[in-house]
Amino acid sequence: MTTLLEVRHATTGYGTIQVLWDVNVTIPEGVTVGLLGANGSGKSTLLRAVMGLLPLWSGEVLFDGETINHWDPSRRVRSSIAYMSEKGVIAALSVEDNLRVGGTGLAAREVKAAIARTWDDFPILRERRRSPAGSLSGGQRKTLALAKALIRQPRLLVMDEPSAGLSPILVHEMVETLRRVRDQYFVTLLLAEQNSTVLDVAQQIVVLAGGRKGFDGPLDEFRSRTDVAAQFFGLSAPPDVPSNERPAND
Amino acid sequence: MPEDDATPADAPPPPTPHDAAGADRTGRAAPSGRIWGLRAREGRWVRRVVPVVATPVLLFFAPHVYNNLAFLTTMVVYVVLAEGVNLLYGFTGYLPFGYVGFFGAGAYGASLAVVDWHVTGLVALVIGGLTAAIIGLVVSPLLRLSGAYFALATLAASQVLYYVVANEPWTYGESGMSLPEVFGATETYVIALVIMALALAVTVAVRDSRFGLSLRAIRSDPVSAAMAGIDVVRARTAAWFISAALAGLAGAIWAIMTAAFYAENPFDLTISVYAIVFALFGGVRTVLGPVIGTVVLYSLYQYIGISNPQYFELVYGLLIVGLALFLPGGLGSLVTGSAARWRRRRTRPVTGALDGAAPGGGTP
Repeated sequence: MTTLLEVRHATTGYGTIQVLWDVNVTIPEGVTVGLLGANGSGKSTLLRAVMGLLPLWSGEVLFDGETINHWDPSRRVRSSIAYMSEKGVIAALSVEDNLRVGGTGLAAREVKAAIARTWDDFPILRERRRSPAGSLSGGQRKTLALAKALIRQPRLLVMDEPSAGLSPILVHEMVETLRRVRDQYFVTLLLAEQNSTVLDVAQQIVVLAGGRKGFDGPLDEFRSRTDVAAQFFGLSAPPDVPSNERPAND
Repeated sequence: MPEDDATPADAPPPPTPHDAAGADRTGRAAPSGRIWGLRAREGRWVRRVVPVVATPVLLFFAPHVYNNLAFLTTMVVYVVLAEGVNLLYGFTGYLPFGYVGFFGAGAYGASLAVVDWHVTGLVALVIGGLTAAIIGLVVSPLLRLSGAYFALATLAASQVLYYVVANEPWTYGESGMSLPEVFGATETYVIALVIMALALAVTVAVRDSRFGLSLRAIRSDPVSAAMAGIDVVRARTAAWFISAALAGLAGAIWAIMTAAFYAENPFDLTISVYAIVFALFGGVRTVLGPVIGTVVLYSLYQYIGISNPQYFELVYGLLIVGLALFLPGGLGSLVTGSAARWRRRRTRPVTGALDGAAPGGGTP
């Protein structure tokens, strides 16, 4: 298996506040990686660094063996790394226009074909194609955000909390959709999550705690290791962690 | 209230076999998307070509209704400026209070080309547009700012330009500018109309193009737009240049019409304010909104402002306050709003669809 994305000794933060401390992550092509961690553990910061939204203080991001530290976000997106933020959609634009924006830089014909493919893969979006994205329900918005990120048929899809704001039923649907999309689009997924239901889709788990990497290994091993749960909560986390942040098979 | 139509309670019932007949009875278009017997594609071209062609043609005959070419030409110049504001503010969200700087730059660029280089009128117009675009290049770092800071910084930049032009000998700052006759009055009006047609065509092109879509995405959410692969800085700068060049052309034809002026005339801040108010009154992000806004408000200015100046500010102020309170999208939103409501009624409601993603049958 070839390595698709590699983060080497990533150290960064905001202003003078350091958030990530020497984080190493390797993502082989085709392996879905779940990035776990409590609030403030540095998940989103790591994703932002991968996407170029936040410069690294030191360390390196390699995509397909090439260092991409100096690439700006739009170049990374055009080079087959897609990003689905927590918000994910542009509320003022219609569903179809969101998809067209997702295809920026592609030839008009390719965008047309990609949108036609999207209508087949996500029929719910076709029904709402002219509605503003802001008028969609939470689940539909996530679907649109996913479809928008997939328009370019990226090799790597980076997702920040795909389950955030969804009801438990919709989270299960999201997991099913992610499985389907992964197989259909041959895309490698990197998901940052607090909700452990979503982990079902992952094959490799990376745990961040306090800006440092803790556990890193296959999903089965993660499940069998009870000591990792403490790491997942974050050692400094308050005792009254909301129940949906606990691993499901506790 | 227009919002009422948007509530789910108002949505039509689920479609039944009788629905198609029902649609015919009420005279609404069939689901094939025909409007007035036109296919969607043809309808789109009508929406593109009619504003660009019909507006100048209608205004071409305006002198038969109101024979005051100086007034009409100035009004058309304001339409161009309002479309320029529309492009910049409507599509990127940047409100340029110093927009007049481009107008002044265009006026002086064209005038100096005529006086010092003795170029022909049309060449002078092009030079006016280019001058404004070059000034736009010089001040383009201002696009790093946003909101009120951007508005104020452009205001300051236009004042810097004004003071330079008003004091330098090579711009005839002391003596004032005076041009020989370049075009006749009717000719000037027709050229102004051509420039306006160009401004309308540019607005239509931006509205319907992927470039315009990128701009709207940036306006709504710059970070998400960048994460979709849009080069935010480049798109904004392009809109800025287009808008500057339009103001430059407007300034150039104004200078040729006016023939004699001092720097304080084309750099008058009221020009910025009027262009912005006209565009907002008519409605930004529409093509005809700024045209309607300018024609209504500038005619009002001519009608009351000259005969009863004491009431003019009162009427103007009340109109603007009323509009801001009751129709924040401008007059144009009356049209686009009802069109959207009409489309909503035509589209079939979503039935029995799950809230989430695709149905389970989609798994391979």
